[in-house]
Amino acid sequence: MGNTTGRFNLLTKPLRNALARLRSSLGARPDGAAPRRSSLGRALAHRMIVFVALLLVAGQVLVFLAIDRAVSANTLVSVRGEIAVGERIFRRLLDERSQQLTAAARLLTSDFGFRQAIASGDQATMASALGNHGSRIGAAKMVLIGPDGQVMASAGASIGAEDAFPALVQAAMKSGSASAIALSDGRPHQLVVVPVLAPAPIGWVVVGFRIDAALAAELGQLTALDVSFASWQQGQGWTLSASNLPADAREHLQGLLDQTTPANAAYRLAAGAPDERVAAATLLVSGKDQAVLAVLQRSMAEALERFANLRTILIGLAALSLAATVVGSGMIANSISRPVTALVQFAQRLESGDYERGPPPGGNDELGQLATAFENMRLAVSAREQQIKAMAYHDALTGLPNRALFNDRLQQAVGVAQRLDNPVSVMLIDLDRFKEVNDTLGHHVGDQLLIEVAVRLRGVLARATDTAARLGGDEFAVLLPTADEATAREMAQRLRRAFTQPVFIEGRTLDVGGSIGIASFPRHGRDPHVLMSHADAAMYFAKRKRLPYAVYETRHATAMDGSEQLAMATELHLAVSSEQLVLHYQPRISLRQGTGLHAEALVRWQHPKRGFLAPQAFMPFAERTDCIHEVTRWVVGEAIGQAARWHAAGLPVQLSINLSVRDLLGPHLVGDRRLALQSHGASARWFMLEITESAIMDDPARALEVAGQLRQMGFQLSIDDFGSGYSSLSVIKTLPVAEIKIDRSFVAQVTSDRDDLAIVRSVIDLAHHLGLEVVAEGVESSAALALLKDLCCDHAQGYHVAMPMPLDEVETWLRARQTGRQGRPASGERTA
Amino acid sequence: MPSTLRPPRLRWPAALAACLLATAAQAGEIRVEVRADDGEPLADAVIVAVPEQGGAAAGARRDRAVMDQEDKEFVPYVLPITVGTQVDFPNHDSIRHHVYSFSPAKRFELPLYIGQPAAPVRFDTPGVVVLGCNIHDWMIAYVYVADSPFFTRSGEDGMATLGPLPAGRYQVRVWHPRLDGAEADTARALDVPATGALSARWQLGLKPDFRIPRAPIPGGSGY
Ligand SMILES: [Cu+2]
Repeated sequence: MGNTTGRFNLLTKPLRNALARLRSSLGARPDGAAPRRSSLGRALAHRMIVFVALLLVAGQVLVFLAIDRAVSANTLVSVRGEIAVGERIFRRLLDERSQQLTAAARLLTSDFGFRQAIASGDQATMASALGNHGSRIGAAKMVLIGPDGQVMASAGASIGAEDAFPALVQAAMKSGSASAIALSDGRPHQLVVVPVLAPAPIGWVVVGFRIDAALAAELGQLTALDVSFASWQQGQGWTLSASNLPADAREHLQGLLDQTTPANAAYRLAAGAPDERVAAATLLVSGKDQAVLAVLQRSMAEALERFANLRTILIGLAALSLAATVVGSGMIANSISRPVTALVQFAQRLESGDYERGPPPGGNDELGQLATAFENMRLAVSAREQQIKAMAYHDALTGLPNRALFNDRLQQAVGVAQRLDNPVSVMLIDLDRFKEVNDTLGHHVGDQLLIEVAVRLRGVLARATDTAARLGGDEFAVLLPTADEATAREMAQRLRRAFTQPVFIEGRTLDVGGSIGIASFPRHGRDPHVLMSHADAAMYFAKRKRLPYAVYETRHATAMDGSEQLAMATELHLAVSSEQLVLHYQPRISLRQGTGLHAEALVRWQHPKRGFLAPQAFMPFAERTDCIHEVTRWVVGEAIGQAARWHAAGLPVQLSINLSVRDLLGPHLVGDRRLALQSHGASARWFMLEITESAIMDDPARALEVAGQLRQMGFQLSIDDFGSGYSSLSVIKTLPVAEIKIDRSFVAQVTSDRDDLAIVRSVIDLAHHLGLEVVAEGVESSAALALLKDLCCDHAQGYHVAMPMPLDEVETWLRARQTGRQGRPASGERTA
Repeated sequence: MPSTLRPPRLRWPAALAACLLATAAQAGEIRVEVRADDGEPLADAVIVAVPEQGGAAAGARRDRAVMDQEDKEFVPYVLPITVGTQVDFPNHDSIRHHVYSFSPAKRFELPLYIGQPAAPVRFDTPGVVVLGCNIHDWMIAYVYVADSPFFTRSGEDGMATLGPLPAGRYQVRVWHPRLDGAEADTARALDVPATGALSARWQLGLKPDFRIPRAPIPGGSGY
């Protein structure tokens, strides 16, 4: 079916438009991409509508195609039928026409005047009668044939041998009349032969009627077909001599005819593809050198026009049902999606923490059950959340707010303060000797102590807006919104007073002491973290200085705020693991004869950005955090390793290693050391572990315990920074230490400051009295060195003796010292 | 052939000739049978015998004949006469006829008339004269003008008797309105005996009958 594509276009154009419109209307609302959750229900509805619509469209397209196909096939069949009928009618009409023409010719030849003229025998008279009477009936040609078959006269066209039409006349002579179609002058004519009866035949008249466009049109009208007559002549081919076809179709037909011969024209026209027109052809004349073909055609397009209406109705129905489906499925989808959307919104409320309202009421269907399940879930989640909230924000033991809640409130208070330009103060409280209580009297006593502290804290707080919290362990905090530094001091005094009352627990009387650090917004910081860290620094200061409380001052802490500290902790951790730390060694010399080589291991940080960092830049921070464990572990491991190498290489160096408070109190110190020794095959005797005085005083019991263990392992112990703290001699006496190091602050001015000299002298005497050796740190001049030697100080360390040096340098220094040929002789050497 | 359905009214010319001849010499007869080439007896065939010696003085006679018009038909269908015979054309119908002839042997016209025309028509030239009526196309009749006094016409059975004829040799020929071919071709030389009868038989090729059928509308007031 050549025409199918054309018809399909007819179909698809409106369809495609409808689809495009549908798509754009759907595409206008993104289903799935951006606001996914809120339009979940809608997306479902859309998908449903689109699916149903597409299904419907597909079905209707199929139906349409099927109908279209059936219509086309039917049309072809019916057109062929019409042509067959038309052909019969056409033949009949031709017959009738020949009969009519015969009758007309008979009438003509029976005209008395005509007969008289013919009977006259006069050539001119006969010719004029023929012309005259022929024109009466519209004949194109009149020829009079005598009884002998010879042409007697003619009118209308040339007389020639062909005009005698002998066969036709012979036929007429036999049957009284005859008719045929023949070419005359190259044009098809319908010829009729009738006798001239007077009343017996006195001649025969051949009447020729032209087959012209008018006839074709008339026949076309009667048969409802396109009628064409084509004539063929030997050597000239086909000529379309008469037709009621439009010009283009005529050319098309001419083209088809040009490919045929009279013998096969009828067959090929009928059998050819029904391109635009279905055709049937009849050979009316078939001679050796001439032929006349009647072609009957029916336009497929015209035939299909009858169904154009049907097609319109089909498309209309399709559009209607599509619209109805879209609306209907939209309503159904909506009825599903609305509760779904409501449930989704409910779930989103749950997600955002709103447990107040229940789910939307549902019916008895699955969605209703889902809603019920949701409701049960909401209640369960809500109850659990209450519980978790309580646990999360309060300390279970004391019932005080915990660190999280405290931080929240602090943040809130600072926010408010920033807006209203109020002050805010925080106090950090750390109990003294809590560990001692815990360790000696048991955890339940410690707990009761904490509870009592909490009670007293609560009792002191005057205002409802003040918050007391337990941050962990024996650390408490108080938030005083709108309180300035003075108010905070006042509060600290009151706390102090409250804590001076002893606590009675299980028949014992316990003293509660604590150190309080205070930081105020905005004076000491505008950020909650900074405030806390500053309060922390102040608290440590107070603890160190044995003050009841301290208000933050910049000297209390490194100038690090919270975020810097966090960054520092991260970096330090990285430094340990990626070997950014190195050990430098500062040798010391003996002020007496014959003692061996000794150096103190000092950690340095080769910072990737900040360069070489001295311990003061990061160790105070490390000591306040657990970072110190890592650092110490690394330092001890490194020092033990180095000592082992030196000993193996014939350099019997004793190394001093610094331990911090946290190291001392940490649980792994002893075990770690043992492990480090074993792994390097080193001896504990090679090492002097330095413990600061304040570290010992922080928790003397624990210090004593650890020191004993270390001593048992063979380590020698030294008390560092002696004189900076408030250690009692009784404590020192109990410690298994070998030496004390006089704090550099006394040594630095020993030559100029009488007090310092007195202290140094008495420390040396005291130490010697207790059987301890004395090391003077910070020896920076030869005078100091000489003086110390005079004071019988045992060892000297300081820039004047030797700077801290990297490994290779100190090795050189030590070897020189060992062989007695030292490159840069120390002052002590000269004075010795 | 409606005209052949009834016997010809006048048979006397042959009888008269026979009388005349009988007195002149011994007389014989020719019994003629005319059939169509399909074997059917052929009526209305004219048989003419022309003596080879001593031509008959035909034109001298003043014979009369009648061509009736009855019920819109010529009667008889074929009327053989001899040269010089005057023929009356009485109209026995109540309507007018317009008798004409375009035949070369006698062209004439009797314009519309009723009853007996004023004068008979005289036929002086031998030949076939075809009569028609200008009003009624189907009306046709033939007047055969013979150049001999000896002629006759076949009956329904195709039989005719020519004679009595004086004995002698005759050129005998047959004509019929539908004769296919030339009349001369039918001529035979026959020797008529002094007494007794001679039998002759013709079988004729016929042309189609072109006679126009009567008007389908029964003759009414218009005619
Ligand atoms: Cu008449």
